[in-house]
Amino acid sequence: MDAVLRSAAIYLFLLLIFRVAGKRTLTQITTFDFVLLLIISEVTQQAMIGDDFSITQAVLAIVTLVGLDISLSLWKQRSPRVERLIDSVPVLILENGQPIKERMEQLRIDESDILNAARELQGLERLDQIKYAILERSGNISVIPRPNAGG
Amino acid sequence: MSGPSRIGDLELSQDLDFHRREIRGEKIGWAVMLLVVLAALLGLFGSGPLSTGEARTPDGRLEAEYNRFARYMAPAELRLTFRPEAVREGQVQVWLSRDYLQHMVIQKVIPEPDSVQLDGPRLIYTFNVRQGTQSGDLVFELETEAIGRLNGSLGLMEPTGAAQGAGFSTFIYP
Repeated sequence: MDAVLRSAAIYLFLLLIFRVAGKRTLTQITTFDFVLLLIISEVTQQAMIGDDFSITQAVLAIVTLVGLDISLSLWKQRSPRVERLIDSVPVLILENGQPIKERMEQLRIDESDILNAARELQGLERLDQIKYAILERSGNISVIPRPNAGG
Repeated sequence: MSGPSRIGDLELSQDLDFHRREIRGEKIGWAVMLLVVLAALLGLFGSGPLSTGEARTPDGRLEAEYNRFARYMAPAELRLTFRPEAVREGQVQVWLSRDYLQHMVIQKVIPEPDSVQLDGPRLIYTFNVRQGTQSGDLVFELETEAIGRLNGSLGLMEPTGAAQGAGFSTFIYP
């Protein structure tokens, strides 16, 4: 019983904490983010299985976590509100070469992040070559070039 | 929420109201995280300056230091300090309420008690003490076994029975 409860508590807590940390937290994993991720996984592992190293305990924890994930995705499919709550919404952060400063500040994104995405995804060189930039739910920035961006 | 709406040439299910609420929620979340860290540093989640409580029997011959806050399956400590007046015929007899110890695993008692007696709702620990001992510490090293609030009491034994004790309580986090 406690394996199920512990795993569920950890799952929900992590969901909450990464929602609070914001969309961009673990999207572009820097070296340090990677280390942070490893530390978090190590700490949660102990909280989930305690000092019971049986296979049963591990199986129960994994089944609970994956089960919660599945039920949450079913719930998200049913209810757009729940989906919004858990996955957030996409936000337009640049329109016709003009960065929307206020939203960028709220989302802790700067122009270099947009340029970085534009270079990686579209091979663009300047902000004015971008028609739209959107911060997606996943935390990635998608870039749509202007039709004549090549010039 | 409706489906995707048009923004210029873009079909995007943008919801700026929700976005603003989300940003506000994030800020509140950060504040909560800060408070949690501060509370932890103060010892409100166990181990810290505010996590140790003190109780004393009405006659002042026995003092106890206990954990106000502890965590499930983690070590806890009960430290009793007796005054010289508490020693009778080379012995100190201390009683502890059983309902407290029932939810704790006693790892170690230092010094080893000479005997432990069951007395209804109490456990009576007898320690041999050398004549002329000024005062001393009796340490119960415990491990929590329950979650929630635990109330306990302790005191000295008199030849006539249990002397009035002191109450204390520990809150155990999951």
